[in-house]
Order: sequence, then C-alpha cells, then structure tokens
Amino acid sequence: MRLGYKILLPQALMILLLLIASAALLRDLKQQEEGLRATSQRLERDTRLAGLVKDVHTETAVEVLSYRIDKKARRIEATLSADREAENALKRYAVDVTDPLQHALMDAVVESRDRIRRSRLALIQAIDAGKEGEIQAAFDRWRIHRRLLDASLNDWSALSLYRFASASEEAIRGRAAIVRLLLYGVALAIAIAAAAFFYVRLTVSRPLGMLVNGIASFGGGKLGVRIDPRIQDSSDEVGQMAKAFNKMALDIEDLNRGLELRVHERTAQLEAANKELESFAYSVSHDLRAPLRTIDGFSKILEEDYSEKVDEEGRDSLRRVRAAAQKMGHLIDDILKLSRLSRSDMTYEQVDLGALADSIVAELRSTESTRRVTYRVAPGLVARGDKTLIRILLENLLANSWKFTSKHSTAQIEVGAAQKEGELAYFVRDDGAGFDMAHVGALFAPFQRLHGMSEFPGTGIGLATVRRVVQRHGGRCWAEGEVEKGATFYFTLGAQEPTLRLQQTQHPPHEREALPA
Amino acid sequence: MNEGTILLVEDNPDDEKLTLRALKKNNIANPVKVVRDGQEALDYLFAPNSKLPSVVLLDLKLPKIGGLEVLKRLRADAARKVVPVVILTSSKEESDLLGGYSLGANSYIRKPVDFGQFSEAVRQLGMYWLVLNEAPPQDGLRAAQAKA
Repeated sequence: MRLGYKILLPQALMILLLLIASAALLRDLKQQEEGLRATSQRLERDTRLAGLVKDVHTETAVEVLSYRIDKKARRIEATLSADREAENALKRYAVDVTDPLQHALMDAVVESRDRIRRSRLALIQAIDAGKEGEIQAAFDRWRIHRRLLDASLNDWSALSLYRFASASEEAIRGRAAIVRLLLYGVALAIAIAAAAFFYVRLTVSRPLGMLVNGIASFGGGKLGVRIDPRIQDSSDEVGQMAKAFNKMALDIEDLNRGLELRVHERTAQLEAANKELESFAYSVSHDLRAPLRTIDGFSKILEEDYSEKVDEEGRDSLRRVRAAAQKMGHLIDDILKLSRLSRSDMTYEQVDLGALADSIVAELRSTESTRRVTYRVAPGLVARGDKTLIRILLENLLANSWKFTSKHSTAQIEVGAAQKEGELAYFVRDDGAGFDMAHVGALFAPFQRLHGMSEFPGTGIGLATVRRVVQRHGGRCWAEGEVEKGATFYFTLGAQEPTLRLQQTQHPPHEREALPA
Repeated sequence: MNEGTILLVEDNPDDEKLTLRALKKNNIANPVKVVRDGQEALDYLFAPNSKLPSVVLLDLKLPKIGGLEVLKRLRADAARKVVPVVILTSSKEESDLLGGYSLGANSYIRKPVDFGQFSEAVRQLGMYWLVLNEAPPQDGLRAAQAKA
C-alpha cells in the first residue's frame, strides 16, 4: 500500500465513524422530537376536548337551572346540538386512543355523560310535572352525575398531563443520553486519532527513521549496515527505498572490496619495485666502487714505483686517470644520495626553516671561518614537511650560495619568503656569481653545470636534489639570476601556503655578520 | 708494538694487493693472513688451537658466507668474541652500518676510491689496532678452549 493511503486510512476511518455517529444521533434526536410533538398534540387535543365537554355541560347546566327557575326553554336545542357535537368529537377521538387507561377514563366520561343526559331528562320531566319533591331529587341526582363527570374529566386531564410530563421527562433523559453518546464519540475519535498516530509512526515514521539512520551510518563509513528486511518487504515507497538502498550498499561494499584488493596489489607491486631499487642502489654502491679503487690505486702505484720510468707526460696521464676515477666515485655517491631521496618515507611535521638555515650556515662558517659573509633570515619562517629532506634542500641551496659567492670579497646570503606569481614562496638569495637567464632551463637537471670545474667545484647534483625534495613535497622550484649580480632560488613545499608568523614589515629580518676568526 | 696477525678477509684480489701495499708502505710489518671468502675466514678462526688475530679486517660482500654472518658467528663464540673486528667495505648503506654495529663490530671503515686516502686509512688502522690498542690476551682463548 502506498504511503499516502497508509496515512489516509485512519483518517478516513475516523471520518466514517463520525458520520455514522452523527447520523445515529440525528435520528435519535428526530425520533424524540417527533415523540414529544405527538404527545404535546395529544395533550392539546385532550385539553381542548375536555374543555369542550366541560363547556357544553356548563352551558347545559345553566340552561337547566334557568329552566328550573322560569320554565322557559331557551337555548336547550342549541346546547343539545353542541352536546351532540361533543359526542361526535369524543367518538372520533376514542378511535385513536391506544392507551387502555385513557380509554377507560374516556369510557367513564361517556358513561357519565349518558347518566347526566338521563338525569337531565328526568329533571326536565320533573320540572315539567311541577312536583317539587321530585324536582329536588332529580336535581340532586343530576348534580351528582355532573360532579362525577367533572371528576372523570379531571382524571382524564390529569392523565393527559401526566403522560405529557412523562414524555417530557423521557425527552430530557433522551437528550442527556445523546450528549453522553456525543462525548463517548469524541473520546472514541481521540482514541482513534491516537491509534492512527501510533499506526503512522509504526508504519511510516519508524521505518523512515531507520532508513535515515541506516543511510547516515553507511555514509559515516559502516559499510556493513543494511535496512531491516521487514521494512524492505513493505510495498510502499519506504519499502522501495529500503530495497534500493540495500542493493546499493551491497554494490558499494563489493566495489570497495574490489578496490581494496586492487590497492593491495598495487601496493605490493610498488613495494616490490622499491625493494628492487634498494638492492640496485646497494649493488651500485658496492660493485661500481671496487673497480674504481683498483684504477686509482694501481695508477698511484705506477706513479710511485715507476716514477723514474715514467716521464712527465706519463705522470700527467696517470693523474688524469686517477682524477677521473675519483670523480666517478663522487658521481656514484651523488646518484645514490639522489635515489635515496626518492625511496625514503616522509614524515610530515612543522619545520622551523630559520633554525635549520642558521645551523647550516654555522657549519659552513666553521669550514671556512675566514670568509666575510652577511647572512639574514626572516623571522617566523615555518613550513610543513619532512625535516630531513628539507634540511638536505637547504644544505644544497646554502652550500651553493656559499660556494658561488666565494670569489667575492664580501657576500650576502638571505633566506626568506616572498609573494611570487600570486603565491607565497620561500627563497635563498645570494649576490655571488649568478647565472645567465638564457641557461635557466638546464639549472635543475642532474649533472648540468653552468660553470667549469676550475671555476667552481661540483658535480651538478645539488639543484637536482633540491628539485627532487620539492617534488616529493608537491611543490615547485625556480630561479632568477644575473651574471655576477647574484641568484635567487625560489621554492614552495606543496599545497599548503608557506606561513610567516610575523609580518616582515613589522619586524625587520635580523642580520648577522661573520667576523674573521 | 703488537706482533700479532692481521686477518684480512677480502675477495677482491686488487683490493687485497692495494691493502697489503698500504700496510707495507706504512711500515706495518705484522704477519698478514689473507682469506678469500667467509668460509675460509671461519675455518681459519675456528681452527683448533688457533691463535687469535690482533685485528680482523672484514669485507662485507664475500662469496659463500657474507661478512656479517662471519661476524655474527665470531661474536657468538665465547672465546673468539673478544677479537677486534674492523669492517672494511665499499658500502655506506645504513643497513650495513646498523648490521655491523649491532653484531658487535669494533669499527666501520668505508674504503675510499682515492688510494692516497685509502693508504692513510690503513695507516691509521694499523697505528690504532696494532700499536695503540691492547690486544685481547691469548690466555683467555686457551682458558676458554680448555673450558669448552
């Protein structure tokens, strides 16, 4: 059943109930009204009839009395006809009367009237005869019969009134019953409403709630959550949703499992590849160096032991051989270092670049204490990244700056951060030998050098190392320079912007100058 | 001056020659026993009634049994664990350094390519282990052997 109907059903039921109750109540009310009206009509008729009869007999009595006095028959005929009218009325009325008591009373009235008629006749006859004694007796008899009629009429009236009063009382009681019924009806309606509420809650709110909870739980990561199958079986929209959700959850779980498997496989592959690289690096470090040692060593032996037999040309050749072997040793070391950078795991933490730079510069100073180098670093330089790798990066950049300013009598090296191309980047700047911007493309490539070994020593691996570290952090690096004016090397360390705790404008970067030892 | 033997465990004949030359050049006249692989080294060290060398110069990459394994077995033996062992190798890999030191090597020297430096390193090794350093007593070995 559809959701709408489930909610509508109890309401329809209640409306139906109300309609039925109203109809029943209305019918009862109508019946009572009718009953009351009928009774009221009867009372009216009874009263009228009794009144009529009384009037008739009063008239007759007046006539008879006046006849007794002056023997003049005045309106006797008129009264007789009125009497006949009353007779007919009574007869007509008697047909409708069903009440036995009333019937008896009416019979009594009729009987009384008969007696009155007879005694009246006898009285008139007596009056006509003129015998006073008989007149009085007949008169008394006639009066008694009249009194009896009165009594009967009174009884009859009393009965009518009594019947009417009973009917009224019953009507009142009936009304009270109706009101009571109404109240019961209201109570029942409330009960049905409550039942409807619980019913809706059971069949609509609760399943919906479970559905919502299930979905939220699933969304929160519990992929095993399913909606109770009983809800799923219900044929309304909630059931359909539950069914659809359960199917979807199953599919997602399967997909997830599939993905996890693939991730596992991929990770295993990566780990295997890494292991291969490790053993390769190990072999390189061992196997390539041994022959180099041989080359260098035996060349030296030649130099030393056969110096008389070897001329200057020969010795020069041997020197070159040795130099080449040693250089190759350095190259191998550098390559190994570079590859190690790619293999190591990164641990992210807050790194104080200022402190790192300070310590590196201090080391550089200790190796060449005679140099005059002004070193500035902006305060509050922090970054998020791997401390070891960042240290290597700064070592390379600062060592480069140190090296390429060595030809100048004084040097300035600066470490800071600046807005470049819309983002905040760190930099290491010096005022040393610099470079021609035309060659900037080759700068970060391994083993590419812009200066000869005689000018500045080095294998050309420093900037390649810098770039590798920056890449591993998801950042980028670039350089600007001018020949003999100096160079600035910029780098970012990933999506997070570099942060300066203090504004550079507020606190000028502190300066340090080296004094000769 | 210690007259004890130097045990050179080295598989590379070139390196062997260079090492011997360096020793000679630096006037280190101690007898040198050369073994070519890990098995030979163990055979020599564990030979019955053998004398302990004053120092073992141990290469790591050896055929048959590797240098670290030799070191491990040496250190496992009650009598022989006192022998000074200097690892002399091309490798600077962290795993080797860690392995060597955890197994109880006394020293770890990386063989430089430059022969001059190599010679200097050998000289310093010789000066240290054969002149300055006190070799473990031979009596200890005999006593341990008697106990064993």
